[in-house]
Amino acid sequence: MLSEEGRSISYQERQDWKRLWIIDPIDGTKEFIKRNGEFTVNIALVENGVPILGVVYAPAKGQLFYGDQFNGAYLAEGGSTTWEMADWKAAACTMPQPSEERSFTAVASRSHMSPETEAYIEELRQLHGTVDLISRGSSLKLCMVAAGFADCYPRFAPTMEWDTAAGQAVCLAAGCEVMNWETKSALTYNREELLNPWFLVRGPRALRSQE
Amino acid sequence: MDKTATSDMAEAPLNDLLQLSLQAAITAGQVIMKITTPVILISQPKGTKVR
Repeated sequence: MLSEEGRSISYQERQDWKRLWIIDPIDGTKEFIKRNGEFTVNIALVENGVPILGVVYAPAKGQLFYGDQFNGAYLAEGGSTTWEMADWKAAACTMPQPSEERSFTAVASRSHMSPETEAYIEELRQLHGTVDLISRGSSLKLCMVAAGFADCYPRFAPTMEWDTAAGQAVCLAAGCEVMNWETKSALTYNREELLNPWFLVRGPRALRSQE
Repeated sequence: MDKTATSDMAEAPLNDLLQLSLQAAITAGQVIMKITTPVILISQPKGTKVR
């Protein structure tokens, strides 16, 4: 099992792990302190470097995102901490939801945009005309693309493996792509360096538009 | 996690592991909300009535 608390496990020890859990019990510490509810519990199962199962739970928002490589991705909303597993499952809908009705949408913070992100959003404007921006904390950013509420999420700033593994699993289960920005290959896990490279999440609409 | 649990995890079907993950996340969320709710109440501005 890998988490922020277990970051000291040497690569020599974990490099042979075929399957591992990557967990972040509270992702979005800033959001947690700000009490805006946008923190999540992240649980991912990684096999041979690929996140194959993920759960992202935002208890204060009453949102549960989950999925795996064989059964697709689901979102259950409107829940509370009194709900049991059966209640969540009864409320679950498949992801992504249809996105053609709205403008092309990117996940990005207007107030904290790096020059590289700004340049990428400008490229999107050239391609799509209007580009709406939505901002979320923690792993909810990846989940916005998985759910079909946004079409892409450029992350050109540091993150750690436990920040993204569960969200990426949900994205992959929903048919989205999470790409290492530099190598253009899939973002992998249990690497020697636990700091993620810059990456780009693309939903079905973004993937179609760049074919 | 002990060695037996690790070994079980390596062999377990994905669906069982998804159920396990969901239950763990839901339980963790319940615990976090229980712990944080009193903190939120204590930090209300002076004069706020806490029921």
